[in-house]
Amino acid sequence: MLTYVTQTLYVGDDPPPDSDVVVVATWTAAYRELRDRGLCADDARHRINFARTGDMYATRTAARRQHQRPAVHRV
Amino acid sequence: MFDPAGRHFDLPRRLFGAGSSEPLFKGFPKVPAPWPSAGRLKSGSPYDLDLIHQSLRGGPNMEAVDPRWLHSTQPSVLQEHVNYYMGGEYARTGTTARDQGVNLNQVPRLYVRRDGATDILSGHHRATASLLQGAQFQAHVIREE
Repeated sequence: MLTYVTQTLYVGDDPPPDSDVVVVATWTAAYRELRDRGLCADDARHRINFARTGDMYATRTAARRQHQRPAVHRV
Repeated sequence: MFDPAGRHFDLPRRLFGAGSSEPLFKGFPKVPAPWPSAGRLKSGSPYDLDLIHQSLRGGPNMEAVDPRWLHSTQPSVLQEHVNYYMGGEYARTGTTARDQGVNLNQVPRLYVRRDGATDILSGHHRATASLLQGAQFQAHVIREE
């Protein structure tokens, strides 16, 4: 199964659906790939959070802790 | 009733694979969206809002979609944004042309009605770029049962 991160980046263990697509095995690898593609740390983290939860801001921050929201991805 | 062979889809059929945004914009920075407008109700939403909210939970469920047979829920598109999506930045990084901090705008969202008509809830510029490039695009598809 593949999980969408961007049009050319997926996380999973299936083969890439086409030649432009990179598939990585872990969310950490996806984060590194996004950083390599030029995203800043915040944007890369938000993109991973969105792919996993549908919420870009599902990250452990001071504001989130106040709302007792669980951390999903933190690098 | 949704009819892909209908005249409503003449313009998207013609533009499919044009290769550039000029055949649509013709020198103007903003033009009407290239699809027929989505049907509306006199009052209330034509969409199952509970279904939409339920579908937005969790990561997006993406599918490849043909950009020709869509219905628009916004009146116009901007060439600047279409050109942005025709470049490679969005495909590589997922960075949107606008509303970069808004969850709803992170991927195109489509709503498929019972009769098969597909409305663009968000992502008109991404759909337009794919239409002009003559390619399918990845969108989060919400289907009525």
